[in-house]
Amino acid sequence: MFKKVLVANRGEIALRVIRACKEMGIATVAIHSDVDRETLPVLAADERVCVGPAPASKSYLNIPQILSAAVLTEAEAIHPGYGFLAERAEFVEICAEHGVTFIGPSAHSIRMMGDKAVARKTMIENGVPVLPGTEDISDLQAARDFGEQHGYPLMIKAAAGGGGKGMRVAHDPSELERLFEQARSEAEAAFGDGRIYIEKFLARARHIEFQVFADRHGNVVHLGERDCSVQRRNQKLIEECPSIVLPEEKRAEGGHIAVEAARACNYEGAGTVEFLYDEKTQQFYFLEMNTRIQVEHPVTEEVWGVDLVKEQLRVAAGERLSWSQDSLKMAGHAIECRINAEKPDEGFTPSVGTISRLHLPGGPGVRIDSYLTSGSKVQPFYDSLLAKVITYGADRDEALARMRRVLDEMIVEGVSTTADFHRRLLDNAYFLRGEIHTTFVETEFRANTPVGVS
Amino acid sequence: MSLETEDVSLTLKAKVAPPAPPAPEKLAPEAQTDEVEEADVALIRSQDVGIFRSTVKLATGSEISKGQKLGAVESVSLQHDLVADRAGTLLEILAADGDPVEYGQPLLVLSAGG
Repeated sequence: MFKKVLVANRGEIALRVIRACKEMGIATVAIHSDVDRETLPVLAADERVCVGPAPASKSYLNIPQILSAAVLTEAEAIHPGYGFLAERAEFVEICAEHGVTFIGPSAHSIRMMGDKAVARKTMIENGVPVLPGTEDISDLQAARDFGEQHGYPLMIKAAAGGGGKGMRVAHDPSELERLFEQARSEAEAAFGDGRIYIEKFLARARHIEFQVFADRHGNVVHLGERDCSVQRRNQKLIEECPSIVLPEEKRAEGGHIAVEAARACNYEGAGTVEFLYDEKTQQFYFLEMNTRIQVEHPVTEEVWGVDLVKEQLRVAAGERLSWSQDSLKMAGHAIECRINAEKPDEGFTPSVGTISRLHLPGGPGVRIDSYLTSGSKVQPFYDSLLAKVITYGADRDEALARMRRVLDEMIVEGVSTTADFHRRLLDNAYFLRGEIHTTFVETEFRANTPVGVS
Repeated sequence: MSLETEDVSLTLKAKVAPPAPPAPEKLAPEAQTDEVEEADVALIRSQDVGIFRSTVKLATGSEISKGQKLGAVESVSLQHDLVADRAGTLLEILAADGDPVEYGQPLLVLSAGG
């Protein structure tokens, strides 16, 4: 096992990784930008190195400085968390050149799955169902042709995509024309890669993703699904494990496809295979594979009784998976609400400031992954995620009741948060009945006028 | 594969407080904390994570000319020179040759009068 690990991230996920390391007796190095010096993960780590100024491009994405920090502190491995350098194949290669282990899959796997168009092609070749779609297209005419052939609505997607960036739904040819360039320039800005492709848009579909785990000895398992259908503009808001609409045989089928997808790209470590799921036809359609630990990994951990981050460390150190498919059992239900520093009443624009008062509730079945302390500064430079509130119960009703209780009790003052928005969602009749889909928040739920409250 | 790093630039700031790390005591006795706060000084900070290399024999009280090379910071792939962008007197040396340094760490204190 590693003696020292450098954590190349910030916020809650940096703290999550440091906590796992501490529990395993591994020393930690936190890297940080000059505005994050006083944050919890930096204070919790055994060593800390400032790698650059506030903008992520000069600090958390600054590969030479981060590598230099790893070499100077003699860290044997780098955990990238999610976002930032987590899915940069060239970073994996540079780590290897400097004798540092990247905690994650190989550069090859990341390249195969990171390019959404290549991943799609690989899945088709491996018999995994995908929605009708194009390969990379550069001109609008090709998109129009696809629309004529397959009908609207269509989804415009970034080949280098992730996190909903560069994604647009076009309902007719004129909207396609308008959104095509928009999506391309957003993809160019977000990923430095303006390639896009078109997929048929499946209305009222659920977002169901499967957690997979692989070691370098050929063992691959899945840890069931997460239902992340409650989204706003393709950004996940609430995640649940298990999905209440998936029969056992469909769980086995989705898990099997996910394991095969991981095998197809020679995967190692924690990964997630995302699908759209059509409830009516009970059909999965491959969306993409994320080659990293996901934000919403805790709901899987609670239900399956595992620690995915510790397993990442073990597998990266060359150990065999701790579990076999047969040894993995799920029990109960977990829900996660992502509490962001945003103003729901002003179009979810980011809110920045200093946390003046803070209470993160506890009690049975509650887990809150957050980097906040009283006096924390919420910076404008980074992702707006403040806290992941996870509740666990014997069943969905108990997990939901706990979530309501926790959100009622939670105090975060000094910035605007999405906590009240989440609290209203938890009373929404559609949500309670599980009648949700990926555009449910935009179409059937409004921030200020909850529809269908019973 | 090569690593890219921007060219290092020397940060000289006038009328700054004594550097936070290391502790202010280290500035004494030559410069009283109060005097330093009021003095027109310039901090030369590291722009990189790396090893500080004092390439010239530096002594406090030395007169430094504009453009003079004062040292370097070696990162994994490159060495970035620290160059004075103005003339002044070297008041303090805050890092020793071979010390690991981080981004923003003050390395040298110059009088900024020149």
